[in-house]
Amino acid sequence: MSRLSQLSAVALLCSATVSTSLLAQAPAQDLSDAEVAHVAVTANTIDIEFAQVALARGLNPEVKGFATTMITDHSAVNKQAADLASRLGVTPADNAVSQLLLEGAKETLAATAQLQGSAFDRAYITREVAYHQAVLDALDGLLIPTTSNADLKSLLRAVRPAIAEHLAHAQQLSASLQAGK
Amino acid sequence: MSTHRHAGRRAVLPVLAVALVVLVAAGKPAAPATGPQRRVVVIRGMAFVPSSLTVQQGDTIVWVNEDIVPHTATGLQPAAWTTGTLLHAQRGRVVAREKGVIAYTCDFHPTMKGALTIQ
Repeated sequence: MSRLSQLSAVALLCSATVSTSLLAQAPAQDLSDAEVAHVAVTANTIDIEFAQVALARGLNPEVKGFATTMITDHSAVNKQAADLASRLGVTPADNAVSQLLLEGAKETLAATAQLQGSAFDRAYITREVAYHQAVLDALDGLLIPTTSNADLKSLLRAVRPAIAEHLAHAQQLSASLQAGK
Repeated sequence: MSTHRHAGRRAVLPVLAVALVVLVAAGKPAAPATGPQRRVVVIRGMAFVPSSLTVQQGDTIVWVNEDIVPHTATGLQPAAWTTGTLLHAQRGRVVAREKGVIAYTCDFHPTMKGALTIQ
C-alpha cells in the first residue's frame, strides 16, 4: 500500500469525505510506537463518542445494540492499550495523524448534526462501514508494520479480528436498513 | 428361609455381575465406562474454536474467552440458553440437555457462529 493510500485509509477513520487539504497536512515520516498508541486510542475514542451519539439520536434497536457493542469493545481495547502503555512506561504521543482523525470526526459530527431517527441510523451505519474498513486498512498498511514494540504489535494484531467483525456486522445492518427491515 | 434365600442370592449375584460385564464388554469392546464429560470451546480472534463440537447428552461445555472484548455463547431458537457475558479470561458453562444440533452465536457479535451436536 502506498504512503498516500495509507494516509487516506487513516483519514477515513473519521470521514469518508475527508478533504484533500487534510491529507496534505499528513506527516511524511513513519510513526513512533508512542504515536501509534495515540492513534489507536484516538480512533477508539472517536468511535465510542459516535456510538454515544447513536444511542441518543438513533431509532433502530439493532443499530442501538451495535452502538452499545462499539462502546463496550472499543473501551475494552482502550483499557488494554492504557494498561500496556503504563506497563511499558510509554506515554502516547499526540501527532498529525491523531489530529487528522479528530478533524475528520468533527466534520462527520457536523454533517450528521441535523439527522434524527431512521435518517441518523442510516448515516451512522454507513459511516461505521467506512470507518471499520479504513481501520483495517490502517492496521494492515500503517499501524502494525510501523510498530516496533512486540507487545504493542501483538495488541494491534489481537484487535484486528474485532475490527473485522465490527465491519461485517455493520455491513449486515446496512443491508438490513437498505432493505427496509 | 429368608436367610437361605439371601444366601442363595449372594451366591448368584456375582455370577450375574460377571455375566453382565462380559455382555457389556462383548457389545462395546472399545467403549470405556465414562460419565458426563467436560468439553472446552475457546473464544479467540472473534471465533468459537472449534466452531462445531459433538458432545453427549449430559456433558458440560465450557466456553473460555481469550479475546479482549466481551462475548457470550447463546443458543439460537428454540434452544434459548446463554453463558451470559464473559469478560476477558472468564469462562461460562452449559450442560447439554436436549439431543440435536443447536446453532449458537455471540449476543454482541452476531457474525460469530458455532454449533453443538448433542447425541
